[in-house]
Amino acid sequence: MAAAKKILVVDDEKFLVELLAVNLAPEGFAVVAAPDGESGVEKSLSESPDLILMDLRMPRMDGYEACRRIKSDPKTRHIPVLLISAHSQRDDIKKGIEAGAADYIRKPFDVARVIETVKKFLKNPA
Amino acid sequence: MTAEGGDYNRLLIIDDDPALGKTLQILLRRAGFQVEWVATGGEGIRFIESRAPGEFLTGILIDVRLPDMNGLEVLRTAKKINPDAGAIMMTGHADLETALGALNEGAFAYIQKPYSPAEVQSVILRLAEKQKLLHENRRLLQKLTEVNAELESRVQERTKDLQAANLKLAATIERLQEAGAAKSDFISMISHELRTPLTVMIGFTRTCVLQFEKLGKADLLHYLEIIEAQGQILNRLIESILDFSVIQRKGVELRYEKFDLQSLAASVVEGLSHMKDGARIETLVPDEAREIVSDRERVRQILTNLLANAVKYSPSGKEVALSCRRAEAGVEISVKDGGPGIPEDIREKIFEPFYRAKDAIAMKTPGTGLGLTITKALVDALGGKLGLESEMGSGSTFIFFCPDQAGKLKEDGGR
Repeated sequence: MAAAKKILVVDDEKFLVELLAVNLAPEGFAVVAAPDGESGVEKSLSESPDLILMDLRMPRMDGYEACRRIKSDPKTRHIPVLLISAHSQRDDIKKGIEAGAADYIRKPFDVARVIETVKKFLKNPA
Repeated sequence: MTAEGGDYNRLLIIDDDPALGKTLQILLRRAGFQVEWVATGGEGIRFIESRAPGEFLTGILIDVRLPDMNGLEVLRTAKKINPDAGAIMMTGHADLETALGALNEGAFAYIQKPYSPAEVQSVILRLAEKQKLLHENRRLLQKLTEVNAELESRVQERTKDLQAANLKLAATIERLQEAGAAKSDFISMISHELRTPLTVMIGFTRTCVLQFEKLGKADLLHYLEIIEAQGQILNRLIESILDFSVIQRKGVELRYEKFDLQSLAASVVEGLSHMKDGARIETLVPDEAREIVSDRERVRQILTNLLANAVKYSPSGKEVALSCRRAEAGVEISVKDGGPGIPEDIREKIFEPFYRAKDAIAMKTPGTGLGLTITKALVDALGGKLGLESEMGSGSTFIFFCPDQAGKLKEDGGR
């Protein structure tokens, strides 16, 4: 069996990280976390995750900027990034897609749906 | 120079013939003129020069033939010094041509020798009349210029006022736009602030449902505790949004009473004890600052907000200090935190509705951006003042001046 797929969760809200972790782990995913955009970008390099779940509103560097950086680095460009945000206006989604995000997850989200989406993108990486 | 009456009678005679000059002087003096007589062109010019600038000289009677210079030269020089001076050339038959030339150079008239006193008088009277009109015109022109200048300066002043008003208007519009933008930012922020705890609550509830069979008791308890804590956060958020909207809609209703700041402070501190482990609140209320008349519940709210903020922004282990001192007509209550300090450029903004410091957002310090706005509104309602002193790196001190309303208590019949 192949090694467990690794998912990087970038979010400053520790309970949201925990929520995603306790739901992703039983599905066989390895979860690593970063508390802000800047360390999210760093960990996308050092941890080589298979997928990134990223909050938009974060300290030091927001999700858009972190996503843009990950997508402009040839070493991390291939990793699908799913943005998570309470901002679900059309403009926010557009901005996310422009930043290179594979998809956009609205808060409050259904954990079962998040897992489905994660699985979908891991089968067919964007 | 006084232009008004009696001053159009100053004459100068330049004639080298003393008999003629003196006779004319006497003649004209009798007719009411002030007359000077000089014998040479040079003396005449010195006399004209010696007059104070602008001093009025009605007429100069110039003999065309003078020992030191030509009468025409005297005329030119005199006109240069005093362009308003009226000149009358006195000439013999042979000099008629010169006299006519003098008219071209600006002389008022010429008198042919030998002259009759009546003729001289009549010419001089006409000159005086002309000079008077000339001067009057000058004066009117001057006045007109002054009036114009005043008008101009008034227009400028008005323009300035208008510009100032325009600037003010522009600033007001900008502020309104900012307030509007802040409001829609607020709605988007509120939706974020509400949805984050909601996401956690719904997520963990769903997790409990999905993993119910597999979950151990400890995990289940942990998730339930998270759900409960997030519920509390939601509740606090909603409370401050409500507080804010009530204050905005209805203002603040006040009930004055005499109370003890020491015991109020103690109960506020007690109420905050759950907030954070490690942050200690020191209170110092000296006896002379204990008793005050104000709205006890509003003061409690203010102190609670200020202290909760102070604790929130102070790293664990740092000390928060509440101290009171008696000030003129009230008590000054200071709340000092051990936080990072508030940058100067946002010190006024932090009182604006929905404003939250970038650092606070970055540090994910929970808040609605309403706490200080509510606090400020309450302080204002109490007739107090809320000040802020802050130094980057060594914390901030909010200073609440609470006026003693003992007077109001009497007026209201002790209500």
